[in-house]
Amino acid sequence: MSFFRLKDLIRAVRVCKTAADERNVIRRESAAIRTSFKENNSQDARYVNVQKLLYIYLLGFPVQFGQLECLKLAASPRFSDKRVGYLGITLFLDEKQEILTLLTNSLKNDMNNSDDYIVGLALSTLSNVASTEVANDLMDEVERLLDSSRSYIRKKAALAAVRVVRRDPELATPFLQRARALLSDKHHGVQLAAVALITELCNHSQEALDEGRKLVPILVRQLRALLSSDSPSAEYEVASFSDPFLQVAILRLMRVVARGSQEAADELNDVLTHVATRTDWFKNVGAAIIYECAVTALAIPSEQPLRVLAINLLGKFLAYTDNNVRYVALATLSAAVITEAPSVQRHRATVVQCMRDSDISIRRRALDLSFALINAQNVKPMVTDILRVLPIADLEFKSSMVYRLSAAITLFGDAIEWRIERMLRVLSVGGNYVNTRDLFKFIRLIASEADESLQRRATRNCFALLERDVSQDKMVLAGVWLIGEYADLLVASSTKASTSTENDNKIEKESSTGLDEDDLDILGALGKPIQKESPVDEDGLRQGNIPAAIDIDEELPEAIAEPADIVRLLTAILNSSIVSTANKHVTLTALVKLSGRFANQPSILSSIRQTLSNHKHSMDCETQQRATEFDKLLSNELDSVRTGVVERMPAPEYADVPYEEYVLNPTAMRMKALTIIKRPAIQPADLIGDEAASAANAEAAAQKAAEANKQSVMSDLLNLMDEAPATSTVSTLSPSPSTTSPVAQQAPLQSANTLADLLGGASISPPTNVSPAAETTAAFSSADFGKEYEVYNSNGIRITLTPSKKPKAPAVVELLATFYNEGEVAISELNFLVAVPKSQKLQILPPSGQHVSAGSSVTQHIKIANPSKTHLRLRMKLSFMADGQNNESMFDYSGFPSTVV
Amino acid sequence: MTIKYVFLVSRQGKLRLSKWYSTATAKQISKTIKEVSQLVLARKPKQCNFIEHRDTKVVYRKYASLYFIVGVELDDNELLILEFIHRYVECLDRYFGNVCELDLIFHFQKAYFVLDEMVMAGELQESSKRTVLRAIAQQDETETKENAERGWGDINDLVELLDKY
Repeated sequence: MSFFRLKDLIRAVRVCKTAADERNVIRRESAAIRTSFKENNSQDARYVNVQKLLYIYLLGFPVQFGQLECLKLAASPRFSDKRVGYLGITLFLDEKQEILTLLTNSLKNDMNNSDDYIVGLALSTLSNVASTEVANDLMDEVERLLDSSRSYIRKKAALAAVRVVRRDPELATPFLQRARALLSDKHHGVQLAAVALITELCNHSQEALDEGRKLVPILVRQLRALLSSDSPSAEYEVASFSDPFLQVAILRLMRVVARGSQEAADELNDVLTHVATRTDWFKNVGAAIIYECAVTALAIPSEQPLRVLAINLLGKFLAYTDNNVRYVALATLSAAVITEAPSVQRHRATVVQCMRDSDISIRRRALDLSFALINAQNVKPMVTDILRVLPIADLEFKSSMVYRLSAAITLFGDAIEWRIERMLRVLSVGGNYVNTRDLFKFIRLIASEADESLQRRATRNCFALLERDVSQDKMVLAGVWLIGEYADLLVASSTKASTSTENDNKIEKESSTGLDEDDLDILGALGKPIQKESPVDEDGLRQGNIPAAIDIDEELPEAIAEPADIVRLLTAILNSSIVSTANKHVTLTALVKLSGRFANQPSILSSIRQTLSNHKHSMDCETQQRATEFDKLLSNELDSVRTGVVERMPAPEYADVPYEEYVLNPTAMRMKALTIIKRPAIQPADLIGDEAASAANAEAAAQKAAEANKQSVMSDLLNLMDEAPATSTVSTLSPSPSTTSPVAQQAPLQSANTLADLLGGASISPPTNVSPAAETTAAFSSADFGKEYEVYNSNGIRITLTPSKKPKAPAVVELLATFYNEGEVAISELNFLVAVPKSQKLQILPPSGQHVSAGSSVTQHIKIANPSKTHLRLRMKLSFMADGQNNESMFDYSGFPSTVV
Repeated sequence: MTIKYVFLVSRQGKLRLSKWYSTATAKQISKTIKEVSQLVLARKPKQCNFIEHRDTKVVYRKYASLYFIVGVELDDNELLILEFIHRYVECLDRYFGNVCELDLIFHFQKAYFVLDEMVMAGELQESSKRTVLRAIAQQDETETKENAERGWGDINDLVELLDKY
């Protein structure tokens, strides 16, 4: 049976007591509708049935069987049938369904109907489900309807055109001129639609954008008309604002057309200032307009006073009580940091305050902005502020906070001591959220960059922290590792011992003598000797009862331990129920390492063995294996091997992967047009531009960029995008023709550190004279491969290239670049880039390390595909940090024998 | 202003209307509705009206027992979307005459028709309330006339009146 009316069905569903009842009703009704579709071809029945299906759809039940019926209903001559039929189509169908091709014809017919509302339905449906194909088929109709005499049709046609262009940008051209005419339409609905259409066109085609720029005067006029009407017509006003929807749409389009055009920005300056100063922002509508205006002012190359005005308005928003307004202010300021760092920095205190707001959306935005604000000058207070929030932060934020904290500390912290201290705090509070990569960075920092006194302090901190709390996973891992490696530094007398030598045995001899004067003083100052205070019980640590996070103003606790205490702590960790199995494995290793540090203390050795034997029967296979093997290792017959096994690990040498710089401001990633929102400071045009793109100009740009660097890491992104591959260490540089314009080739920019230059210059550098001697030997000398060719030697760094070839790939020359540090100081952040002529293809693999301590070397592999066997000419750019100074140099090399091709 | 979707849920989480302007499969749609409703229903009254869900900014506003939820692009003007939601509610209110949830349950298709006069292709179509309502009224008139031709008369409306009072 079937309920006759929609209303009856709705009522029947509403009286259902349980979900099962509801399902039953719907199942029966669906079956009835299906039968009706099959047996009854009347549009009247269909009209009712499709309405019922719409309801069933909203309840979340399947309705696909009604798709075809919707199409049939839409083909009915009656308006009411079409109305319901098309509604069904927009809800049940999407552009991916094949059945849609059946729709094209009825849409086409209806768009030629004499009834406005039927045309409207067709346009509306088109705008909802049109696929690329349908868009192509119907675009002539849409174009014609743009000229309709009825405003109702014009606005709908313009919005249907938006969909057409979205689906197939190539169809944009014919709409361009028409949209322009619609912009001055007297109906606001048509204007709105025209603005939407032009915005869409400009996003898709450069031609449209050029045209769009010419529309700026019209836009200014329309916006002024809206602003100047003292008593806005009742039809369009909202809370005494004259059509805010249109105002915002125009402001938005202004942003699109004026992006990257200083002229357009200048034309808009007055009207934007007018909006920004005259709009009353105490109501939501006013705030919406000001917000849009501020975003536009910041996104186009507008003049400085306007930009400052925009930032200040957003700053006022921050202090406002309305959470919505504060939310948008925080979000917009994050984006603005990129270009307006100093003005935004002024609102730092308010932003920090917002991190503790009661609303999670506000907190999220405030956190993002706080991280975006971090720079070299304020890194210390900012990190402190964020660390204060970390313990109480939402769980879902913690991983990203901890990650970004690690990045901020590493990128901006200068003193290694401070970096270690802050990382320990991060670990102690958010150790469960630290990712493995950050943890390894930290360990690497301590092992290879810290000196012994820092290592000692870090180990002592770790010992004290672990005695307080072992609930933070990565804290346990880092702490246990450090204790295992540097246990000798942890015990009291190592102050003296460490100064004399690194030799383990010697340290132990002294360590057995106990505390010396200095250390007693330290203990005295603390007022309570650690040994007595630490309440590590027989059966474990302070489990369950996790102590509060250490206040940021307090110093990190430091503990000096007796060897026996160390063994006891590690044993307790092994017995703890909250420490992960993986960490217990590391703890076992640390424990056995203690045997090397305290080799001459039999009592320690025996307590280590005692603990190990307790774990020989562990349920965990790995634990059991390690315990058994380590116990064996400590037995007398392996004395000779043991010293070597348990001695301190050499500092890790693996390459450090630097942090991506946008880590701190993901908003920046979303703003794709970053490079063109700024006024002249950095103009991409310089790279490919006219003759004026002289060295001086480019140098100025580079200098500006360098200044910006100091202000915020985010401005690095500007550079990053300017010379995309230049800052990435792992990149495949394929010299694309587009980056080497003819002009750049004519006048190679000597000092500009741009990729374009790098490539352009290389391709025109005069061919080197190959000596006749080299040529004669050329035929045989595969011996030229495998030799080291020195390409650079200055500033204490020497670079050699060793070419080689694999028989499998005769067209590929592999170069092994070796960087020898022959200076006095360590080199870090080594970055080496190579460019080759266009006929060759280049691949640079990551270097074996970016840090080269004095007297050592690192290597990097470079592959050059040289199918045409032309002479190898390289242009190279080297940058590195030495002694706190940033060094950069660029040089060419073409001294390979002609056999090396 | 690029609206990706509009949907209405009751305080109990029942869907009252849903319209997608971006292409999505039925599965994605129901997943989004479920996730976003959960997030929105859990919000407290004093909190701001915006949340983020995947790559969409969700703007919502509560009217009586109904939540109006709009998903937009990340760079859209959230404050204006709030105004749009309010404008939609005003239009519904004017159309139904003091709208209540029951009106939207029994006449959900009308709510769709009003929305279709206000938004097309995810863009705002009309900023004048009067134009929207006039267009709807004229279309309704045609529909009533046609239904009379079918011989159905205005029985629906009578039943409904009895329901309401």
